[in-house]
Amino acid sequence: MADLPDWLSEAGPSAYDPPSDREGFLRGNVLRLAGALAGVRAGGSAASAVDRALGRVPAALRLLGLVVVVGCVSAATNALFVWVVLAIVLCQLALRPPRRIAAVAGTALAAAALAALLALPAVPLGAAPPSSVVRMAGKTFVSVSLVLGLTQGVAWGRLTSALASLRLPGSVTFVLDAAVRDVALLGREAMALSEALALRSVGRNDGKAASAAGVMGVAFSKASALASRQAEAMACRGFDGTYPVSRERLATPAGIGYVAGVAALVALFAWLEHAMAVAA
Amino acid sequence: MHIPDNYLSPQTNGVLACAMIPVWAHCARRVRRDLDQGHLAFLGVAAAFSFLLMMFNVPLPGGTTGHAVGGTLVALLLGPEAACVAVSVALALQALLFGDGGVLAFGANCFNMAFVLPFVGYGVYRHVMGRGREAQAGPARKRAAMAVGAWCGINAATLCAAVELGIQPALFRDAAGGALFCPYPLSVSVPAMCLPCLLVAGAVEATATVGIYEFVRRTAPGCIVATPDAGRTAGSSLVPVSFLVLGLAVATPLGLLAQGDAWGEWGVPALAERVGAVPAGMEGGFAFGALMPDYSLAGLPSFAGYALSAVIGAASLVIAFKLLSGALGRTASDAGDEGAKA
Repeated sequence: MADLPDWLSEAGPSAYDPPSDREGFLRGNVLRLAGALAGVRAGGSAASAVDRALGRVPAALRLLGLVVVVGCVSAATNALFVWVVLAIVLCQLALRPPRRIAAVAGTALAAAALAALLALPAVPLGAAPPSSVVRMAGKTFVSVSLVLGLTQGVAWGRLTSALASLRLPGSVTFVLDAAVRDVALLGREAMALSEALALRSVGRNDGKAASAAGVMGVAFSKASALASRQAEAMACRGFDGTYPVSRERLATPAGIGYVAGVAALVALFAWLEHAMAVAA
Repeated sequence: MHIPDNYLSPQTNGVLACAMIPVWAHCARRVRRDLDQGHLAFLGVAAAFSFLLMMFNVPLPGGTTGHAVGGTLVALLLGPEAACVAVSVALALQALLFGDGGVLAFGANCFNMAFVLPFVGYGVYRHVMGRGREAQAGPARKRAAMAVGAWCGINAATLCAAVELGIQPALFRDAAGGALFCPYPLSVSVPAMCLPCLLVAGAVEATATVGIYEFVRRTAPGCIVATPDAGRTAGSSLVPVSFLVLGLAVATPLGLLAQGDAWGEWGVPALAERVGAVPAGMEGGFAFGALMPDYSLAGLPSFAGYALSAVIGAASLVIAFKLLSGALGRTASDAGDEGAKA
């Protein structure tokens, strides 16, 4: 009893009225952002039979195929091609477990809603028909789903190798690789800080913005320290700008099948565009 | 059997929608209580079965078309409450995305196909099997009970739809005595809808129910909750079932071989051609612009548009129920964590 602080040893009933302060801001924003950063390098695990099949395709081909298909989706002047790719995307999604679906569909739907919101003012102004808003939202959903599907299904290390296979300069590959690794590291750091902040947050906190800014400031300082430490380590090891990465063989049966599928989509795109031009 | 908008009076639509609210609430509670996360995800596959079966139109006597619904099938797999939820979601998707079935008539369509059909079908199955004697029944008796249940279920639902349409001219007339909404009385609607269903659509429903149930029983017996086989409750590889769903989706254009519309599902011009005038209540009535009306896409051959619609619809249902199962799973685990902390 002798060592208890005054406020704890006060006689009489304790009167603790839990404040109505909720941690929604902290949990919903800072922790989520930090968690997303920490998960940047977490891709690469197969979640379904389709993912396993696609996992056998060389990452370079998948990267190229993604660029080609997203380009076709963006350039499509009719909704038909978008519907076809949407059907493929939905089939892939349907085979994944709920957590993976939620991760992709939530982000893709949010992006599609934002695209629709941005395009919506064009309708009352007479600059675009309502169908174009739906088409834009559909294109955004399909493109974001395809990109997220790739980042979730292919480990970052394989994507780095893919960039090297595409004859990108080693310095570019190195910068991308280091940036993603640092982003993931900083995400984990910010996550730990945010959790510590949430645990120590007692009572009502009116300075949430300052707390969040503090977390971001510490993360920034950490980024600076990481960068200087990495530069020192590279100087010690005699780094000369050469960044060796292993290259995957492209001409595998899975790769050939994948290229055939993408080629079929491109052919469909060209045929539909030609048909549209003739009809016009 | 998908009643379009403007065929029923707003009063009829309102009453049937209100009647469905407690049914949906009860079914949602039971589904949440009885089905675990895995079976909730499988409910999406069951809803996809129902959605796809409704796209297989078959020609009926009298020059119209009909289709199976699969409500009894879902009830036999996961229970009638789960069937109500699954068929309701499938009907909502059909109405909103494909313009099949009215948006205002959604409550009426759910009453017929999501409530009456699975509950009657499942009830008849249980009655035929005999309470407490399911374990002793042989596979032939079980299959016969399923077929009879499915046949009775779809006929009960058709009778309800025929009565709802047939009472319109008696209840809602304009000053001149003309029908405001569906112009056909009970004496026309009941035989026109029920006779072809008794003869053909009921048999199609029974065949589809027994066939798909047997397929699921052999490939994924662990997915069956409502009528499990004794000693065969393990094993639930969904790969063969997924292939079956995909196969059905690709085969849906066969439903286009049946020419003509289903009885009572004509557009307003087609109805005017038949009866000579547009009923006053239907003129300028509610019209919902679906994204892919009649399962078609402008510029695409009808069979390709139909198959694409089937794939998009089935995949959407599976995704929706998987997301729901994931969300409920997280809620349950959060509640468990809270309980552990307390």
